[in-house]
Amino acid sequence: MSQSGKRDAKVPAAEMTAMLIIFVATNAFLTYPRYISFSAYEAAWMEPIFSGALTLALFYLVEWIMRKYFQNLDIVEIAKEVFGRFGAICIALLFAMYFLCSTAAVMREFTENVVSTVLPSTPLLLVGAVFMFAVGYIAYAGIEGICRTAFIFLPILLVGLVGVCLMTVNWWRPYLLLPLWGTGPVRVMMGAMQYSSIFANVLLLTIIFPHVNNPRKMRRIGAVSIIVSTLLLVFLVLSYHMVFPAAETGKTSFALYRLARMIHMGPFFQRLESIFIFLWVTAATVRMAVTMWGSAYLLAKAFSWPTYRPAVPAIVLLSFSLGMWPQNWMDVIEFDGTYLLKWGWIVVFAIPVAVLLSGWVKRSRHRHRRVRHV
Amino acid sequence: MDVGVGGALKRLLTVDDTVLNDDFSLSSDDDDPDADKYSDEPDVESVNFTTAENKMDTAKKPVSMRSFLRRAEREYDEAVEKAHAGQQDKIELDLDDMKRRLSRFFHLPQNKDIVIREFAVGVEGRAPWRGMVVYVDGLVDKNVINWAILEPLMVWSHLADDPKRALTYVVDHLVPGHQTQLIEKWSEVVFNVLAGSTVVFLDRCDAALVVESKGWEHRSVSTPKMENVVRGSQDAFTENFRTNTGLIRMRLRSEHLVTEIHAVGNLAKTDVAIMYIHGVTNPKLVKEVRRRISDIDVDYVLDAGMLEQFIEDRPSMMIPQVLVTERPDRVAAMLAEGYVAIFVGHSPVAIIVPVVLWSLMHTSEDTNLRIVPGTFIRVIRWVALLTALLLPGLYIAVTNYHSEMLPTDLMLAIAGSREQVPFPVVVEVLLMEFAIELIREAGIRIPSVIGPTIGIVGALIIGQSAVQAGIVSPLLVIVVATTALASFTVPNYELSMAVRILRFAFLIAGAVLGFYGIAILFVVYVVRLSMLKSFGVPFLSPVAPISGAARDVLVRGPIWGMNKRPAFLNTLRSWRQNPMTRPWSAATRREAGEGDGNT
Repeated sequence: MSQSGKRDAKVPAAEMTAMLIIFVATNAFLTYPRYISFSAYEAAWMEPIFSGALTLALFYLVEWIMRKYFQNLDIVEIAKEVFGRFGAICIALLFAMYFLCSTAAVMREFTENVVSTVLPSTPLLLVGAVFMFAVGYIAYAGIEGICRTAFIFLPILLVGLVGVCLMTVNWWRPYLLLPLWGTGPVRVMMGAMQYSSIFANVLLLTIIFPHVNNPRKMRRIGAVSIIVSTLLLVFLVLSYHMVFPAAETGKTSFALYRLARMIHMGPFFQRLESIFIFLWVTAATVRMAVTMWGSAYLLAKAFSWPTYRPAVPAIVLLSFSLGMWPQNWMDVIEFDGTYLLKWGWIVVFAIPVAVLLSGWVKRSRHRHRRVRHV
Repeated sequence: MDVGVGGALKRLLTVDDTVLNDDFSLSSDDDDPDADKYSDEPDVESVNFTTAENKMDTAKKPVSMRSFLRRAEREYDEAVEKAHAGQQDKIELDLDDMKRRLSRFFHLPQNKDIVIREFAVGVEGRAPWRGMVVYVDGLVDKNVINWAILEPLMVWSHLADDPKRALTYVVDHLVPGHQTQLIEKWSEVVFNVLAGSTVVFLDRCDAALVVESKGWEHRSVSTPKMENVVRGSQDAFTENFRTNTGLIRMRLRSEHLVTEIHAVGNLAKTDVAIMYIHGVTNPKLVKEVRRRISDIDVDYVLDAGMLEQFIEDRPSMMIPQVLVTERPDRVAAMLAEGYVAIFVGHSPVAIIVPVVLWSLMHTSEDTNLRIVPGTFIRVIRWVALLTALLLPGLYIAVTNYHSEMLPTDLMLAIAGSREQVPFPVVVEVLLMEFAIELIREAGIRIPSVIGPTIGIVGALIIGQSAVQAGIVSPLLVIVVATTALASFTVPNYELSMAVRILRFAFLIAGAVLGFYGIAILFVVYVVRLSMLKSFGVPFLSPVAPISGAARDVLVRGPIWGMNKRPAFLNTLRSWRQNPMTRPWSAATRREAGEGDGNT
C-alpha cells in the first residue's frame, strides 16, 4: 500500500472491457451509420455483425500469438525484435499517426455535431478547445484513469443508447428493412470489410496487452467487448432503419441525433436530444482519450522515453490543429470516409497481424535452430 | 510619546516625515536593549530563542526555490533544536539544581500556571529528605495530589534508614496513585507535567516519579451535533482524549483493539492515537498511518482538522480523503471492518482512514434500518447529492440553451415568470445562491440569542421580497431552495462543503456551454476522482477499480449476506461472518444447500 516507487499500470478485466465497448460503440454517434447505410442500404445492420465476426477471429489469433510467444510485450517491442529499432520506430510512427488523425477527425466531427445541434451560436474553436482539454486531461491520467472512467460511464452509455432506440418504438416500421439483403450480399460483405476499422480492438490489444491485470482473461475481454459493441451498433442501425427509409439514412451524418429528435412519448417526454449530450460527451471523450493515449504511448515506446506524459499536451495541440485544418465539416467527413474508415483496416488489422506473424515465424525458427544445436 | 505643549509645538514646526505617531509597533527594534525580554523581573537563566529567521533580512536577493526551501528547512531545524536544547539531559541529583532547571524551562516566576510544591518526606532519623512535586494548575485533580502524594509522603511515612530512601521503595510502598511511572529523562518530565500528570522529585534521586493526576474540566458526553440519527446511539465524542478512546473500547470490547499513542508538535505536543484491530487491519496500512503521522514536523497541531491536512494524499482537493466522524458507533463499526481510526488531542471527532467516496454518503443509521428503507434513504441521498451539485447549472443550461426540451406549457410558464426579471438567468441564480450562502454562514456565526431572526430575515428576503421586487423569478426560488435542502442531505460536512463550491463551477459551465459544458466538467471531475487515492486505496473503490464486496456501496446490502470485509482494505481476515448467518432459518439452509456463501 506504500505509494513510493513506480509501477506499470494494470487494468482489471471489467474496466478494460468497458473501455473497448465504449471505443467501438462511440461510432454510433459518428459517421459510421451513414457509411454503412450508404453501402448496404436496408442490410446495413448486417455489416457490424460481419465486421464484428472478422474482428473476433483476428482478435483470437492475435491474442493466441501474444500469449504464447510475446508475454508482457507490446507491438513496438515485438516490432523491435522482428525488424530492429528503426523498423519499430517506423511502425510505431505509423500507428501513432493513425491515432492522431483519428483523434483529429473525431474531434472535428464531434465538435461540428455539437455546434450544429445544441450550441449554434458558440464559436467552433471554443467548443473544440474545451473538448480537447478534457480529452487531454483524461489521456494524461493514463490507461488506468481512462478505463476506470469508461467503467463508470458504461452504464450511462448502455442505458442511453438502448433508451434512444426504444423510445422511438412508436415510429418503427419494420417493412423498411426489406429487401433483406439491401444492395446485395457482395456489397454488404465488401462494406463490412471496408468499414471494419471501427473495431480497433486488435490494434489496441497489441498495445495494451502488457497492461491487463490478468492476461488469461484477455480472450473473455475481447469476446465480451466485441459482442456487446456489435449488438449495440446492430440495435441502433436497426432502429434507425426502421424509422427512416434506407435512401435517406445514407445522407445524414448524425444518426443518433436524428433518432433522439424523433422521440415523442406524450407531451412531456419529447425532443430529448439535449439530454443525450451527456451520452455523447462521455463516450466521445473516453474514445478520444484512448487514441490520444495510444499515440503518446507509442511515441514514448518507439523513442524509449521514460514516460509518455510530456507528449500529451503536444498531441492535444497537434490533433486540435489538424482537426481544425479542413475548411468545413464535409471535408472532414470525406477524409474520414475515404482514408480512415475505408483503408483503416490496413493499420488496424493487417499491419499488427503481419508484425505478429513475422515475429511468430522468427521465434519459431529460432527455437527450431536451438533444438537442432542441442 | 511627548504630549506636552512644547512637544506639540515642536512637532508642528518640525518637518520630519520619518516620525510616526504610533503607540506601539511590533516590528523589530534594534535600539531597545530589553526588546527580547518578557518582563522586568530578572530571568533565572535565559535561553536565547533568536534564530536566523527572526532577523530582518533587508537584502532581498532572488534565490532559487530549492535554495529557498533548503534555507527555510535549516532555519526551522535550528529553531526547533534551540527550543529543545538540554531536554535530553538526565535528571539532576540535587533538588536545588532541579528546581533551578524547572524555573528556567517553565519561565518561573513569570509563569504562574506551573506549581512547584516543596516538602519534606516523613523520616525518623535526623537527616531530612526533601522532595517536591511539580504540576500545572488547572490540569490536575488536586485531591489526587493531596491525598495520594503529599499526605502519604509527608504524614504517613516514617522512613528510618538510607536504603529505603529510594524512589522504588516510595513507588512500591508509599504512593498509592493508581497509575505511576518512573522516568529518567528530562524531556519526559516536561512532557508529563504538560500532559496533566504530577511529577515527584526526591533529593539525591536520579529519577522522578510520575503520578497520573489528570483532572481538567471538560464537556461531558452529549448528543451528536453534525451526524444526527433517529435509530442508533445518541452519544458523540467530547473534548477529552481518554473519554473518546474509552467510548470506542466500551463498544468494541476486543483484546485485539490496539491504541498506539504518538506525540506530534515541536513547540507543544499533541497526543495522537492510532486505533486498529490487530489481526484484522492490514499492517501495511497501520505502518503507513504511523509513518505519515510521525513525519509531521510542525510546531503545533491543534485539532483533527489540521492533522488531516498533513496526512491526506491530496490536501488541495476539495473532496476529503479521510472520514471525519463524531460518532463512536461509526468508528467502532469501521474499526471492525479493518479501517484505522485516529484521535487527535482533545478534538471531539475521530479521523478514519482510508476512505472511499461511497463511505462519505453513508450514515450509521443505514445499517440499523431494514434493507428497503435503508436503500431508499441512500438513493434519496445520492439523488440529493446530484441535485445539490447540478440543479442550478442545469436550470441555467435549460433556460439558456435547451429550451426546446421543455414541454411548451412549462416553457411558457418559465418565460412568464421571468418576464419582469431584469437580469439574465445566470446573474439571477448567482444572486440567489449568494443569498443562500449568506444565510448559511450567518446561521452558524450568529449568536444563539438572536438565532431565530435569521430564519425570518432569510425567508422574507428570499421567499417573498425578492420575488415581489421582481429581482428573481418564483421558479428560481424553488430551484435554489431545493438545491439548499439537497445539500443539507449530504451526511459528510466536508463533502457538503465541496459540493457547495463545486456547484458554482457547474453553474458557470452551464452558463457558458449549456449541457455540453456541464457534461465535460463532470467527466473531468470523475477522472480526477478515479485517479485519487486515500492511503493507497483508489477513491472510487470498489466500483472503479472494481473489487469484491461491493454490495454496500450505492444501495445498502443485506446484513446477513455481506459476509466479507471490503476487498480494497486487504484485511488479514477477509470473512466477517459465517456464510450461513441464519442457520435456524429453513430458507437459509435451503439456499446454502443450493450454493455457497454469497459475498
